[in-house]
Amino acid sequence: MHFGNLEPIEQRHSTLYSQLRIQQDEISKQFDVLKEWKENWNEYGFERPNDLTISHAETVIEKLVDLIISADYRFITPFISGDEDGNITAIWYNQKHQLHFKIGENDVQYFKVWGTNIDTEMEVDFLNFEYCLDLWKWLINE
Amino acid sequence: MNNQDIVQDDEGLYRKIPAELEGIAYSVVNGQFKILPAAFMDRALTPSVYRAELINHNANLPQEKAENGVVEITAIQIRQIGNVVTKHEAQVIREHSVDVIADPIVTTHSTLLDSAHAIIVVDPKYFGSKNKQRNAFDLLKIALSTLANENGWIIVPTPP
Repeated sequence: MHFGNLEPIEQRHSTLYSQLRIQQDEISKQFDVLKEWKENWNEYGFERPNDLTISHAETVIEKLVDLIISADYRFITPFISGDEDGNITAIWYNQKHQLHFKIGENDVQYFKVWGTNIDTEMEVDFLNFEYCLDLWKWLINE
Repeated sequence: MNNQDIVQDDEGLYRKIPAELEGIAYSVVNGQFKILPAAFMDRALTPSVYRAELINHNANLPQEKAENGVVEITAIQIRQIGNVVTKHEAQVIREHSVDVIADPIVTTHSTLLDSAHAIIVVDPKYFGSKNKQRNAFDLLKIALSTLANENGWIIVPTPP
């Protein structure tokens, strides 16, 4: 058996944490874009997420990052966006698997997606944080 | 009724992705342009598309501005999305099939592009509270953006 290519644990952790810092910066930038939205801007009629929704979304993402890193799984940078009604969406893609969070002021809905057929390849429900790790393991094929 | 009234299964349908909607309708992360569900948002819950065949497959027409992007989905892909559902107290109370129908914009100055206009609809129409309708529409937007990502860009937008 050959272990020559394995990194020492400390080095691996340090690489993971510097990667995570880059990802967190990327997430912050995406939130900054959301914060700059104007109410009902241009012809598209989007509702700007209010401060409470933005704060809730930031907390949800932070909580998820902590959960994933504590469990020693790799984190994937989400695509942060919004919808017509002022909710915030966070979407993670991993090949055929997609995980969508629709974050409102008080609740979070998740959409588990593994194809384009709504009947057989999507699941939607309200998010219970106890279920988050299972969702994440499914997303990253663990 | 003539041939143009019915959108055939094999027809390509263009959807414009405005460049200014970076971070909303599409995102660029690590150089990767991802089409997001919000690319198909529509206040009336009937996203507009343009029938490629009726504009001679000229994607520059629906693009409108040089910096905008364009994606293409076929009618059969849309029809195979399955059923959107309306739920009440966690129970499915109605299934809505997904379709795309011709919806030419008729004015005294109609253009070629106007005549190619079509909309993505569900049958029966969404009903119930605004939230119920939005929840049903969310799944459709996810399916449409997934199809668009699978098909790839016809024209990639130039972010502002």
